[in-house]
Amino acid sequence: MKRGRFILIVSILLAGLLLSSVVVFGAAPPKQRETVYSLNVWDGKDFASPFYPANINTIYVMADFQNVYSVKETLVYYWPISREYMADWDSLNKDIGDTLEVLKGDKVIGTYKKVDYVFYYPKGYWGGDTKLYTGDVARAKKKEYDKALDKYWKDVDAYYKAYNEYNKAVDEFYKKIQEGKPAGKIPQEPKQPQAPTFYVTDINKAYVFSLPAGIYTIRLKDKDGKIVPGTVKSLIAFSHRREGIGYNIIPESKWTYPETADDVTQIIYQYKEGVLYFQPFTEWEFNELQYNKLSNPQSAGRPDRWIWVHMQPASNVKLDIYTGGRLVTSVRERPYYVEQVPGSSLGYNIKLLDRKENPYGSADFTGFRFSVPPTGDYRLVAVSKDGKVIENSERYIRPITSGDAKNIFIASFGPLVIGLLIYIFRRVGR
Amino acid sequence: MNSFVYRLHSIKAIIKREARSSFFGLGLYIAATIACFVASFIFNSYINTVQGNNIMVMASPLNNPLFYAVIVAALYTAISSSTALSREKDKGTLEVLFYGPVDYASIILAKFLEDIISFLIVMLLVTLFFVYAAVTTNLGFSITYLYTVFLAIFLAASMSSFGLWLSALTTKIRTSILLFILIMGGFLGLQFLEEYILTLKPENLSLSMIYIMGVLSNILRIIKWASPFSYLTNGISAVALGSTSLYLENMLGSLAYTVLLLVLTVYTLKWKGVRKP
Repeated sequence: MKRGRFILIVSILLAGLLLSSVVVFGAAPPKQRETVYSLNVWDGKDFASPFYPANINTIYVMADFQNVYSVKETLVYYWPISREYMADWDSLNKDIGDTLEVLKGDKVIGTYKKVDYVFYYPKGYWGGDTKLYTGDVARAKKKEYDKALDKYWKDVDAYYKAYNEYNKAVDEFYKKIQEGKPAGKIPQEPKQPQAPTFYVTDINKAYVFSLPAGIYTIRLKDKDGKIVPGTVKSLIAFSHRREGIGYNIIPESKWTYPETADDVTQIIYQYKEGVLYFQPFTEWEFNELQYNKLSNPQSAGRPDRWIWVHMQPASNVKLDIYTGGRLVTSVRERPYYVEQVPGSSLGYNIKLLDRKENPYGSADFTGFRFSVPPTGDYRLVAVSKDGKVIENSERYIRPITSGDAKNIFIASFGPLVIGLLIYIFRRVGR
Repeated sequence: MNSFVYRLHSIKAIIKREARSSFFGLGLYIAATIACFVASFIFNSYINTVQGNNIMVMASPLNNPLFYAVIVAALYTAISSSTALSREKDKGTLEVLFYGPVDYASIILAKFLEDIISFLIVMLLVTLFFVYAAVTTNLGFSITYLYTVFLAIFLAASMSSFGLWLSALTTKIRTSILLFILIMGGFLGLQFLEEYILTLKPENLSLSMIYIMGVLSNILRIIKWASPFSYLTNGISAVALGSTSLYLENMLGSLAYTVLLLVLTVYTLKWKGVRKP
């Protein structure tokens, strides 16, 4: 009887488990038609593309940068695996509205119409340094790209033709040699055409504008001037708190595991002596909650935390290293490559890439090299082209000289020894 | 002599008596040793980390061991405060004192100032130890240490005033110590809980846990106004950020906390009386 009940309970639990698995992984999530904001926002390094489902009421953007706003109708579903709402753009992607209004309090401070825009990638789609262009410039950039692409395809066409001619000429050349006739010069292989290194997106239409730091209300109006339901949201345009220089630090002993030193209060400790390679970045400090929400409105963040964000590599700087107010060295950025030690044992050497000796070699990384001496303390600062020390670029470097904490543990009993001495002297003195 | 001079004289006399007793006793030195010993473990972990990784990047490395050392020192101060009045009440010596030129305010102020002096002696010993540790390891000794120590005096003041209030409220030494440990342990526990919550990544938590975390964060936000430890933690953050306004805000916050509790202690002692129960 008892055994039968046990089997029944186990069977119910197993069935429940299996059914719940079906619910989570097997069923297609229900989709709902919603009016959503779809943005392209500048995050300090590139443009992120967040979307705001109907249940999220606050939009976060970076102040004083142009951002792209679109309002669309799409199908929204909840995806339990990543615990977020997703948009099914393939099924429905309808651009709506006519005018976007921005209000400060009750006062309308900006009215925006859709404009043409493109994203321009000067070093290719994955190369970074993305630019946003609107209006005539956007159209000109697109034209420039189309022209470059058109020229490329024409060059490709010409290349294949030239390559056919080249193959024929090579055959002819060898034929003449075999026949013992004068063959002349060996035919030259045609050069492959270079595809455009830059990329421009198709022209799209959206509301593009920047806002100073502040809290606003945003809403969409249709052609009749009526507010489109579900489009009234809060908008927070935030800025950074501080600017500075952050460092990626590549220790020579483990070059694939760099550390970061983003704040002036951070001290870099090196065990005894060693070589460090510094990669400076310009950085801005943001509120963690605001910055996280910027690229992913459904993510969490802490309003009481601040994070430094590396914006771009600091160019045209040198690093000055001081000890006790005296300049020890002034370091410039150099390319380095990693050479594995020959044989089966593990190990590598990091070497300076000398362009004269090795003109075709490629660098594994570039950085500012500093060999930390075994003692002392060092102050590192980034100096700009005009000789000024860049604010918040200072870091201290200290070699740790102690191998264990034995002496520290012993020293911790110092107060007790002092107390006992005082106690004994008082007792003896009585 | 007017009443103010009498009061000042009696305050001085009580402080002198209490300070002598603390200085020649072992309690103060044991507290300093525990504070240094606790800090040693953190120094040890630093050395192990930098030895294992060859590199370590850290902001104000002395602040973390100092935080724990200050907590130990402040707990010692507060425990001696929490027993100060109840012990004298229990022995009947408090009543005797009131036959002389002593009033409620002067006895409480004297006990409070003596506790601060004891705390300063503990911190002096702790600082000597920190200087030794910083020099032998080359971790470095920065001005932020002194800022933190200065702020720690205000933490000790808050905790001492809290201890005195408990002492005035209770008649038995055991009750006041237990009550103090319970409340301060709760505050400290909540503070560590908050720090633990901050390390969790919400994306890795279930929805119900995120909800619980949110509720807990809001409770902690309210409670931290009553916890002296939060003034120290926020003050340490202010030192790290170089924010003078935040530093002053925490300093003034704990000062107001201290004044409020000292006044409350005077009224509580008046209400409860000084006679042996």
